[in-house]
Amino acid sequence: MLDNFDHVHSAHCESGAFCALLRHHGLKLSEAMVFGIGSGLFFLYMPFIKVYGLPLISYRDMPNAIIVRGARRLGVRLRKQRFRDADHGMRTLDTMLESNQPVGMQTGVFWLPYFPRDLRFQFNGHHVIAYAREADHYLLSDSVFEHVVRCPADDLRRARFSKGPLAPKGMLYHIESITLEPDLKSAALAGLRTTVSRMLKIPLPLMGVAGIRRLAKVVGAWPTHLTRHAANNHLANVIRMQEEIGTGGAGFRFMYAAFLAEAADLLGKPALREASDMLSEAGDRWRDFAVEGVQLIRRGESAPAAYDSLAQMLLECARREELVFRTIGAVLQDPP
Amino acid sequence: MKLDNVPQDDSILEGHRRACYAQDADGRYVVAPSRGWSVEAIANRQALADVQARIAAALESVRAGRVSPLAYHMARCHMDTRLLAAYSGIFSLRIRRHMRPEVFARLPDRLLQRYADALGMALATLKTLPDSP
Repeated sequence: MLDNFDHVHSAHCESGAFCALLRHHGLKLSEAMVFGIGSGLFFLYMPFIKVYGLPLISYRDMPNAIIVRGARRLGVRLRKQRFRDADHGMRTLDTMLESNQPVGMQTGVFWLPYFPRDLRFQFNGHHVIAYAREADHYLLSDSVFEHVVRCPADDLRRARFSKGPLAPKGMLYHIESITLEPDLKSAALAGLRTTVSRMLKIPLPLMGVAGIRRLAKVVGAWPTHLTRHAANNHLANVIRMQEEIGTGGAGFRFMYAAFLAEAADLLGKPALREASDMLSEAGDRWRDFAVEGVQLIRRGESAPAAYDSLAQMLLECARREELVFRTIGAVLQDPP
Repeated sequence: MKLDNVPQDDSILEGHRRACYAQDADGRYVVAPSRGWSVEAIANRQALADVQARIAAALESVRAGRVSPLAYHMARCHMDTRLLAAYSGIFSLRIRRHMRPEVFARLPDRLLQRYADALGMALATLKTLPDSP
């Protein structure tokens, strides 16, 4: 069993967990780099999928997308396991810990007792690393926390086998083999390519930049279609997905800007540095949107004019992001 | 976001700090710990208010004898019948029947234990209610 684990305090659970696992195996990359290579950034507005009765909004890609893409692009062999039987799932975890193997896990946040109470929602896409067991406690490296935490075995079992949308089914993953000198340049390029195409080229108006525009359109219509309370709830939902724990600020936009800056140096493409600054500014606009939005919530307001001005702010975010990804797209067209 | 602008409002993080990305004086991105942001706290409160109202309403209904304590504990775990069905492996329709106080009172321990496991609580407390939600 490992005595300790090189914990990495990160903005996002999945990129953080993967980053820490890579580091444990000797590959030192920043969280932003892992996030970018795994094409973590996205935007998604799904009105027909409800979470707590509200439309699904996400500023990032599907859970597990980062580790799957990241592993592939970095030449890492990642073994993932899911379990039908919880006892089996817990025994397998113990066996791996006994052989000094830190293990990534997908969990449901609601059952993790070390989480602040107000953040414990039924959400099943949270990633943590287990690195040791002490009697009936597990020692976890949860990268969105500053330090490692202890979690009772019963609670962890419940979290690993939580139910509902994205049910983790006890998902475990660990690194089977790794190359310590991966081709970072092509990994970063592949990461950029996927994100550019997902942000700009999906022909559905609910995803990427078009998704932001669609959201702007419906935000403007909330005061007429919804009660005041419901309009406020919908708005709060958008802001929560953007700012609540695990985005690094502005719905992952700042973290992705950090990746772009790093990629600019790595690839020797100054244009990516510009894209980074532009995305940073777009992130600031997202923050402005959040500030304006909570003013309305606090006042319990649903004046159409107020929501319309929010919609304008979102359109501005969409316009800026479109420019960012077009800029990156142009860089990718360039021969190296 | 500039490093100086990283919010440090004591909010919902209960003293924990989360990692934010911000630019230092030279424009380089760094990871900066933040105690929280009042903006996110307001949005969080708005979301929780509805959940808490549902829990309080469920407690009220149980006290008034309209539904069984199961309804309260289900709401307390942010669940609806469908989610509880997924957790417990008991069909929704059956769960709905168990929401009737007189049916619930006659349930065997074997079935109650499944609910207790699904809700992450002891069997003994499944039939009881707290003083306040």
